[in-house]
Amino acid sequence: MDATTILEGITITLIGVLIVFGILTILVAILYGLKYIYIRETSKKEAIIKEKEEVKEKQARPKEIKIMEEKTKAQIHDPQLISIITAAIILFNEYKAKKLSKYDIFRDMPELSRILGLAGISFRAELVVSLGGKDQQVTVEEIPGDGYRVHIGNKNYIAQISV
Amino acid sequence: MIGLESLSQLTLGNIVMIIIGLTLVYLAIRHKYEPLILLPIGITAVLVNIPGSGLVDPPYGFLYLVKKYLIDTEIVPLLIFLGLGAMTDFGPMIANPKSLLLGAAAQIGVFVAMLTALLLGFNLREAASIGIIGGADGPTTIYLTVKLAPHLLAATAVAAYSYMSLVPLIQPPVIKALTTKEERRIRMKQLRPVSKKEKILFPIISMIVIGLLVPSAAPLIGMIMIGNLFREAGVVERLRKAASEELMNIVTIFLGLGVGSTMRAETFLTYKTLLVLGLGVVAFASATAGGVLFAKLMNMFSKEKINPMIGAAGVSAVPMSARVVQRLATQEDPENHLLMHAMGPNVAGVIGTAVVAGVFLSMLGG
Repeated sequence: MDATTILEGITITLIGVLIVFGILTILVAILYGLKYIYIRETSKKEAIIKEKEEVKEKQARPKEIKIMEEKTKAQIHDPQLISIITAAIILFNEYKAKKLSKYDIFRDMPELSRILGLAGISFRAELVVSLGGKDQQVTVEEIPGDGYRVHIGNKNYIAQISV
Repeated sequence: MIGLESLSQLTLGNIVMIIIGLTLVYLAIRHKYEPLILLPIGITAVLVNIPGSGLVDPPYGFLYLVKKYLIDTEIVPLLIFLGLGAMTDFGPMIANPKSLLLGAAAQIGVFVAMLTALLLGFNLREAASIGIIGGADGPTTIYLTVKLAPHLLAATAVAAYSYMSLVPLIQPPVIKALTTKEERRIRMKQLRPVSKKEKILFPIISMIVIGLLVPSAAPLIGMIMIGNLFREAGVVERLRKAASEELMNIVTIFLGLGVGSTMRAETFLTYKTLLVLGLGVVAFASATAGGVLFAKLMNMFSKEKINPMIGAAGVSAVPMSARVVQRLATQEDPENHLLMHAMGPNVAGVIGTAVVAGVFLSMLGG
């Protein structure tokens, strides 16, 4: 055993430990840099996905229908009346879709039927809505861009649809 | 040479070496101790100790040629590193960069073993070759020993591979002695996912950085990173497969034959071999201790506690030491899964050992 050799060994040890830790610390810093890039990228991606989801959610949100008496503009709260009017509008739209489905262009792009109103073409249908075993004669008419006019008994109701 | 003539040349040393070779074969087959490497080494050791075969005789002995052209030229260890790279997932380490420091800390075992070897009378180049056993990385041990102390090749290679398979026996007592029950029960939060871009950039960047700072480590680091790029790029599947399967299998056979061919009685049966084998245990144990103690040190300064046991996986021995950590963790708390956390220091240990080998080469001359 030679003291110089031992001393040399200790020197190599110190330098070696220093180099190993130094280099691996540099790699740690690089890896944190890569992690930062990853987080930035994923947060960007997440923001885009979130935005898309929000748009989808907005599109999927149910349309609100405001129903009021045409003359007094008073909002209707009677649940039975609202049910009849809603059912009548659904039936009306089914009737309208059936009529339009004869024409390919409207079947493929139902939204196109909206422009019919601009051309002064609006649909009107007389329907019978049965609710609680009681038949009700109802007339539904489109008001281009403003919803539906529903005639029940001797009163007219306006159903406005907000998107 | 025929029959009795060969038998008459059989020495006691040859018989002992044949027994040692057969023991390695037995351990490989019966206990599955690193069978891919210990089986060819063991059986080759038996073969080269049969007098008169001429297999290791220059200039045309088959095993002589294998050693001269594949081991001494470093071709085989480097190709093994290429294959290792193609098999290694650096993901857990990229997800938790701090684990690289644990890989560095475990290299303390290399230096402890080196200093102990110096105290026992080995010279610096021999001591470095013995110390690197603590890195628990067979190819690096062979790579360094061939350059610094080729006469110790058989002893260091056998020690490195044997102790790698003995990791489940060597590490647990050291880990348990250095940690409390509470520490062993520490749970770590799940690792974040790692993007493909990060996995591709890591081998390229680390190869350049380490290559520039420690050029003598560039061959080892370069090969492992090239192999890893094959794996992560996702566009050279054939190369990845060839490097990690066909090529790896072929070079493993040559490595076994080459190392086994050095296990001749006259070179292996020395007291130095016994010392090397003893120092191998010191190297593994102190490397384990280094990793665990450094993890505890990190916990003193970190808000997010790490389970100190994962420091033990800083000795490369992939994935054996990570599995040991996982086993110990589930013994304390069956719900505590540390395998992926331990894989980080585990693969970092491979890089750390290669850097240490580079340091030794640059300071002691290759």
